[in-house]
Amino acid sequence: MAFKFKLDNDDLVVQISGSLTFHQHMEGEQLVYQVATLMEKNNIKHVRMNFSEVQRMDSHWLGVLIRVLRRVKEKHAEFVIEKPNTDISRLFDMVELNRIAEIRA
Amino acid sequence: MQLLEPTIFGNPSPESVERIKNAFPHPNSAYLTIMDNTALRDPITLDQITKQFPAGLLREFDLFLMLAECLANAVGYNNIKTLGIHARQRGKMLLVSVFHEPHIAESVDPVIRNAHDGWLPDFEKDPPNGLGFPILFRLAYQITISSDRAKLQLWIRLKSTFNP
Repeated sequence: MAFKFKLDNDDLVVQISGSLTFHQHMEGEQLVYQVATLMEKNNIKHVRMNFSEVQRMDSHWLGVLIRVLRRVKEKHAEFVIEKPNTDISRLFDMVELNRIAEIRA
Repeated sequence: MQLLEPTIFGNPSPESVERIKNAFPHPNSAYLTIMDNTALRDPITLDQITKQFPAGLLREFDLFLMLAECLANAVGYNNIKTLGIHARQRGKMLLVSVFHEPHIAESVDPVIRNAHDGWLPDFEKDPPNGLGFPILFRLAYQITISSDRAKLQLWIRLKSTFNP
């Protein structure tokens, strides 16, 4: 798995790719830390997590997403998950992630 | 009776392999794999099992998610030395048994009870983990622990029973 960041005015786009499982727990820690650091240093109003290149994902990474979302909301910014595939959308539905996150097809 | 030869990952002890093989004396076994703790934590193991698992029994993503959650639970809740995964068809269901050595800790029981009752965390304030069993209960028709606490048993509807 991999992720990269793009700052565009007050938008932070996080492009994630690959297969996200509990095996990549260190990468999850890094993602939470780097988003929090970027939020501290920049006046970010929107964080968009782009899932178009994520093939599959397990519950560990749902936890990572929730931690990122909390950091974003602490800064009163908007959190959006974009373009998850149908399998990952189904996973989001299973745990009712849309209760707290906007998910855009 | 001829027992199904397992796919081995890592170096589980021969005694553990025999114990797990003998725990599944079923003539209609579809799959059996046995792994040690190191292999359990290796992402290649999960990839290989999803590729080797008999095709067409379960939806591909359901298979991946079930395996990932079972392996993660074994890492998280139990100090696992050896893990076995066995599957066999029972009518319109696939019975997937996850054999734990040492056996399943009793600390898992309240987590399973809560998940069975439909519990989901409050994402605003609860710890951002503990979603494994809630997801497994949404994939499986039923989940039980064997009386000797060796096996977590998941009853999952076969792919062929879903509408296209």
